[in-house]
Amino acid sequence: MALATATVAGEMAVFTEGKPEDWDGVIALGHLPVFTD
Amino acid sequence: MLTTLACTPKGKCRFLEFESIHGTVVYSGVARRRGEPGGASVASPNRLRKMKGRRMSYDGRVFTVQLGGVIRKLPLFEVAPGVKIAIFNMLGDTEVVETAAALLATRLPTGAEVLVVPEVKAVPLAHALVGRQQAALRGRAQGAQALHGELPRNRSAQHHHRRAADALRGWQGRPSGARQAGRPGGRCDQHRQHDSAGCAN
Repeated sequence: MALATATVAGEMAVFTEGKPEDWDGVIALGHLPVFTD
Repeated sequence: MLTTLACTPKGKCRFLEFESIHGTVVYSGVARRRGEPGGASVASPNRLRKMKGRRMSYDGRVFTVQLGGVIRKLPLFEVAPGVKIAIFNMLGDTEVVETAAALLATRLPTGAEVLVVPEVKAVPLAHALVGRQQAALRGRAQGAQALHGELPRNRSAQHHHRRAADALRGWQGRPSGARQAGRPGGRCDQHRQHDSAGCAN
């Protein structure tokens, strides 16, 4: 993106995964947890 | 269980195994190339038994997600000892792709001109998103054209007709609404002429 001198207007995803706080800047429709025993 | 043999024109083959879990086709193994130790060019029962040891662990549990009105049960796979993730793959699930695109389109950042997605599972989503964005722009343009196409005879009505069409096209060259208050006398040209003619509206 830097090479193209682009300005990132936003980041989107259908789902984020893992820790929700890691994806604060991402527009997403849902979140998938990681399941640990 | 679905088994297929994928070969290149040069005869290099890979033995692929797929499994349908709750309607989701899951790719679960790659055999060795023909000629390599244990390699085979046909799906023999012995090959299937050997491949089973390389499959991700799945115990039948699912994680249910909802996108708009679409519900999917995602299989939980153990990807590392003690770590399970919900497998989400929308490639081929057109209902999920269209629904996700419709929902994301409403949250698309204003001013976005280009959509960049990683290869390859997100490509259908980008396609659906762009289609919706273009349809929205086309609708606005057609609405503006339709408004301009049938101008009323009354001059004042024409003025409001054009302003509505301009608003549909997103054109802001002429002050409207709150912007109009910034003009001399708080009126646009048309309305100032209206005022000078002695009309209260």
